[in-house]
Amino acid sequence: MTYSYSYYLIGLVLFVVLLAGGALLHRLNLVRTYNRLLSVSGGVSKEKVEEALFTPQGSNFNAAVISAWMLLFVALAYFYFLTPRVFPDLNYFLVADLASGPLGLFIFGLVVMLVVGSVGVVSLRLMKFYGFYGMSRGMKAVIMLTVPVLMVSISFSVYLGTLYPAGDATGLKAAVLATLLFSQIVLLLPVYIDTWEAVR
Amino acid sequence: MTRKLIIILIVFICLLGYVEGKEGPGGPGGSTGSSDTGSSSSKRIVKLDLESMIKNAETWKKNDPEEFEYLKTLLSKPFVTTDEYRWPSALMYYPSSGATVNRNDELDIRSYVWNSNPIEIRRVLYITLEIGEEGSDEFRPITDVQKIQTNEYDKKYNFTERKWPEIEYVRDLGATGNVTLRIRVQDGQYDYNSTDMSGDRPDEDMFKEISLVIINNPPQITDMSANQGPVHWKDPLEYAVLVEDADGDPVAVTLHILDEDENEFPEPINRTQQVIPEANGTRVTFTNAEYNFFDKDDAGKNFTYSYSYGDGMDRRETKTMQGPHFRPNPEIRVEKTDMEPVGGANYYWWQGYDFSIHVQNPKMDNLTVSLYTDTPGHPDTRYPKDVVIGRSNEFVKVEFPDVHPFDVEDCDEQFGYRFRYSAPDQDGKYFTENIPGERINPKIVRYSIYSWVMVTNILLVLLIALLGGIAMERWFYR
Repeated sequence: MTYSYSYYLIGLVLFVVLLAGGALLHRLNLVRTYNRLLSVSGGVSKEKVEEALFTPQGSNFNAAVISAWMLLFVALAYFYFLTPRVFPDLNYFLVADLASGPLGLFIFGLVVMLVVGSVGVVSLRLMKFYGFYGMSRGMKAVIMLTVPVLMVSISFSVYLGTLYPAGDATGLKAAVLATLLFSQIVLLLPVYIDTWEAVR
Repeated sequence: MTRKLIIILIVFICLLGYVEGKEGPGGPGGSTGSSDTGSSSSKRIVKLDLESMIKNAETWKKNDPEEFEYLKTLLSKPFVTTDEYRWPSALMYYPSSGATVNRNDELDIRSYVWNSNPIEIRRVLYITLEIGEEGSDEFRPITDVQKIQTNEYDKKYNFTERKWPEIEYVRDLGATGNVTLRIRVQDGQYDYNSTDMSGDRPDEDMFKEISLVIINNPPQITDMSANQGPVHWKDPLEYAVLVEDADGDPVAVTLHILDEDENEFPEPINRTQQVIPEANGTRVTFTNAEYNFFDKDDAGKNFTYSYSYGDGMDRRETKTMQGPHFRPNPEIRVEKTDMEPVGGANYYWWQGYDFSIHVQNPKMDNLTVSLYTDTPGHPDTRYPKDVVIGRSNEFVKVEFPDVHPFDVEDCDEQFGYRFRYSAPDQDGKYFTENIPGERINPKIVRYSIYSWVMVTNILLVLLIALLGGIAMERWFYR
């Protein structure tokens, strides 16, 4: 495995670990909170607990977070599947008609967003998890700022695509990966903070 | 027979001389030839030499033919038949146990004849091997007559044997299927067959008759080849085939030249060669130079061919094969094919390319020229816009300007191109060979990051993400 491939592989592993870890910790947080309430108030249903704990975060925040999650996966797809660099047999340019057209990049991103959006609609409970955490305005602002950060990541990935196959552009790839993982961590920050506080 | 007659005459003349000696010279038919006469008081002995005796016989034959014939009859030895004469026995010796044989099998078959008559009354025997074929009661001789002299028999057991030299292999019998073999025996008076004998002697592999089932190995034809073309009708054309026959039979190989629909022509074109295949087969060729199958009227036509072949017993046919395909006579001339990328020789997939070919078209009112490009991702793809040109005695440049034949799939691939036209060129072909182009640049993204196309794409992604977020929040999360 070349240095370049290991670089991509580490990034992908980190992304998956962060995502899976966030989901797992969120689940543990829910269970822990439910058990605590159960010990205090006696018999109460899980649904009622979830309902009681839900805190509306505001429409703008919700819309921005949904956009950020969709852009997170668009950025991931652009970084890994835009050129044949990482997956020679599974990339955007294998769809020659799409990739040869002027709006091919946008359509590629749109398809990714449709997939992610569909999954989000189906798993409403997962997407509602921000309502279970108390967040300051500052944290919300930071989370909403992931949208422009992810646009930077997407732009860098597109630029890497325009350079292909010339140049290694390791610094640029690192920047893309950094912005991608940073955004993912920020989007999952309420979960990790809550867990950290519970552990402490 | 003549020698016998002469000897008898000599004896007779001697007797005459003795009589003449008694009667005195000048007796009836007295010799006029030289003779030595011994003197004696009571009798004379006349000595005749052979030459004067022959002369006398010739004189008698000439002067008195009737008397001469009578003399011959008188002196000829009658055919001796006695009540003791017994027909010699004849059986066939066939040591092989197989009744089913191939035509290329060796055939060891002999006749054994016993003659128990004393030599004094034995006669010369004439024996022949005969064959009877299935469906026929007739037997026909398949060998020359073999003669057995009276003194040829074994002295103790009174037998002799004969092997027919002309029968070495089963195929020498000249028949297939169920056949029966027997011996015909003639001695000048009697004429009989081995089947008339009293019985077989199976312990000694001797039989009155032999029944065989003879299997013919049909000839084989392999390795058929011919110039499929397209070729010019004047080109050296050769049909070739490998002929084999396990039995070594002569094989008649007939080449049938057919039309492109595999039908015979009204006047069929057939040519036959007779070959005796060697052990590993014999190559048979039919060349146009030798047989003149084709002429200039066949230009542009397609033909097929097949073979029929047989060894006299089995006849077979091959399947029909394609070829030759003759090029038509030329109507145009083409030269100078060319390709140039538009706007620099970068050979990007999104670049335009100018293709051209020079055509001289003195005959066709509307000559259509088509362009084909070829890459692994888009093999032999026709450019949708053909070019039509009129007559011209000079070469005209036919251009396909600013063609965009490639897409992103063709990156880093070698491309080629060719032209097709609606009339045959100087080589009798309707197309040029594939002309190798360059390797297409591996760069896959056509636009720079600063171009309005890329900016638009990125902004559209952002816009849709934001709109999608708002819509989903309104529809699903309230």
